[in-house]
Amino acid sequence: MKKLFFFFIVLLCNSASANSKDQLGSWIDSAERILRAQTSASVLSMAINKAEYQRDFTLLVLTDDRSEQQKVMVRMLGPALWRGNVTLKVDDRISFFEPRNKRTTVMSSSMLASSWMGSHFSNDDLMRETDLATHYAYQLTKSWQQDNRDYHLVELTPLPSAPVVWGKVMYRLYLEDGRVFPEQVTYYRRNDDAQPERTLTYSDVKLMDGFKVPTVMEMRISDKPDEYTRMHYQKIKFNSDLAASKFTEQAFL
Amino acid sequence: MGLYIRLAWRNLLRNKKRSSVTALGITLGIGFCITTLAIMDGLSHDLITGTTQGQVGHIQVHEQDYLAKRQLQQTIENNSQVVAELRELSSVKAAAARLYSFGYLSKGNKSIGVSLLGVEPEHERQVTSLAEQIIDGSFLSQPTPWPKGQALSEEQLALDEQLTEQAIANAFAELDGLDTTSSELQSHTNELIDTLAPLPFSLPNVILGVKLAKNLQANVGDEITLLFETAQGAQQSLDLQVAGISRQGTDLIDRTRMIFHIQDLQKLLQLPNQSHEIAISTIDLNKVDLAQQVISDVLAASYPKLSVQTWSQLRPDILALIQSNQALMGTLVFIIFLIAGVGVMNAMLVSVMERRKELSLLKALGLKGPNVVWLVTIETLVLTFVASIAGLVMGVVLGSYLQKYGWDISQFGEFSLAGVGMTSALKAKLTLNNLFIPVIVMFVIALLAALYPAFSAARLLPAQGMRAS
Repeated sequence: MKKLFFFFIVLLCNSASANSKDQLGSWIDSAERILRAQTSASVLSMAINKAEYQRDFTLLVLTDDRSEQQKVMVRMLGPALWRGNVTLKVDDRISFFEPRNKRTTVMSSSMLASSWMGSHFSNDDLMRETDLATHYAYQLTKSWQQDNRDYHLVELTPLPSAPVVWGKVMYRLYLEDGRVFPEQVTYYRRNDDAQPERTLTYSDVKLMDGFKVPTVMEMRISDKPDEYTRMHYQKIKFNSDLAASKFTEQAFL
Repeated sequence: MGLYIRLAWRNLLRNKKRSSVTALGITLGIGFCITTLAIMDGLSHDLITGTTQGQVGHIQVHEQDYLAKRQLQQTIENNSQVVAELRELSSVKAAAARLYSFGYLSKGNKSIGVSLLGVEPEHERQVTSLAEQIIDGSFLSQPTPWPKGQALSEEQLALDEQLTEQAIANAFAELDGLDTTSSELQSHTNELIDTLAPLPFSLPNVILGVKLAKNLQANVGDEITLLFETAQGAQQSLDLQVAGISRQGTDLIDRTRMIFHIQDLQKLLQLPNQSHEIAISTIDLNKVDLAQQVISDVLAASYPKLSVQTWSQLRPDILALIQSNQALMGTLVFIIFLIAGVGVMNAMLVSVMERRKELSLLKALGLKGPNVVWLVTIETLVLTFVASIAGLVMGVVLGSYLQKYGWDISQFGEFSLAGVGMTSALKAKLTLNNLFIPVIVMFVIALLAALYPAFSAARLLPAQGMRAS
């Protein structure tokens, strides 16, 4: 009987802490989904600034998270050399289409970590999975008030055997009008690194399709302070009924 | 002296069986040592030529940080001029530029990550045996005719912007549910791309590694598609044709390597007149350090950003492997000799003990102690001498056979040492050192082995010795 009682206490404690963990998890999940919703279609410009080259792309990005399969399609609208290129990701399968020779190349998931079109975003970043909301354990590091907003800094450490490359992620987010906004995400290669490897910053909150969302995302690598890739959303349409046929390789042609 | 040799010879012949068994030990010891050393030298030689001719060349030139980071942009600029200057040097036999990158190769619905290598076919032939590794089809020869890309004119740039605007407008319309497929947009775009990055007139020829070709099920003449990233970070794909299939012998290389004509790869990666590596073959591999000095001096003046390294600096692992092999063989040879030496000592000791009576008699008749030592030592040396000649003959016969025909080890499968593909027949290499070092060492050991029996013979007391039965 004593044992049973003890067991319940433990269970109670567990679920209590699980509750607050769930809270953090759902914050991260909402913050990660702020630019995706159920489905999203957006036009954005991407500026890549590297020592070797500068480049501006215009992209059309479609996402669909309504079913179990997460689908993302990126079509490049300009400039000429890239216009019509399509990258499609359905779960772990990435395919790349080039309109000039109408070839589709299917890449293995080993390519997920490599850079997308020479930017500072990897294939995986761009095809943003809700990785941060699933593969990590959360811990609230700090909470504070600023500009009438509730700010929180959440430390994410990968769950054992999680298929992720980061040892630690610090997620700064704030709550406003009951919605969660991401502000800065710093990625650490190892858990005890003092210096983050890269930093993703969200800024310039604007009204898009009836929702306030950050419209600028900037990725910087700590090793190369002069380099960055900046994505600037120009138009977003949320929760429209995107046809499933848009996310197939047949749609490339 | 002559008397001692005669005496020694007669003594040896008195017990022919024992003498010949001892001699056989020495003969086999020397014969096998010569063969082992010859195989060892052959292996070292194969390793060095495998390294230098297989891939590395004698000397390589790189952009100074290339080897540490191997980034696409760390190239040797003005490649054709640098190579031309190198070819003029008297110590340089041949120089071949190379370009490296990575890509994603597909045929049908199979795709594999590959490493790309661009070579100058004619010059590469003189530096490495790359061209001889072709097992099907043919090696590369001419670069693919490929028009030069041009920057867009003001007008075209304006058109490009206009097309982007139109694509955005189409995309917006698409978001609002309108259907806006526009083939005109793509055809205008294709015209612009043809100006910027024109396609070659024919499909560029490439050589695939044998396992890569097998995994893709690609044969000579097949069309394949390569997805790659240019030096400007643009992802592009291009159709290619398989011209040949090569077998280098190293699993990794045969599984991932794809060879281009360097000019084709330069076009592909948009790195005109640039290379990552210049491999040089010198006149004399033994004077490679001197050649390195000359080349560094020549390049330092006009190209301070380049670094020059010899094969042993580039592949210190090979040199270490050779040295550790030699140390291992040295130990083995020493053990063989030690056993042979103990055999000699045993034989001489028994022989001395058997002849206690007559040695005592000799001493009683006035033979001095040192002379007894001398007699026994001469006996040992004569035995060793005769056995050495037999051993030399055996070593030369066995060694020359292995030098000519090699030792077929192909039943153990293809093998490579430290990434150097080796021939399947282990070939020996006889040198003067290999022949005489075992003989000299055997003599020294025999001499040392003779000392104990000789001194125990010298210490015999004639009175006691003669009485023994």
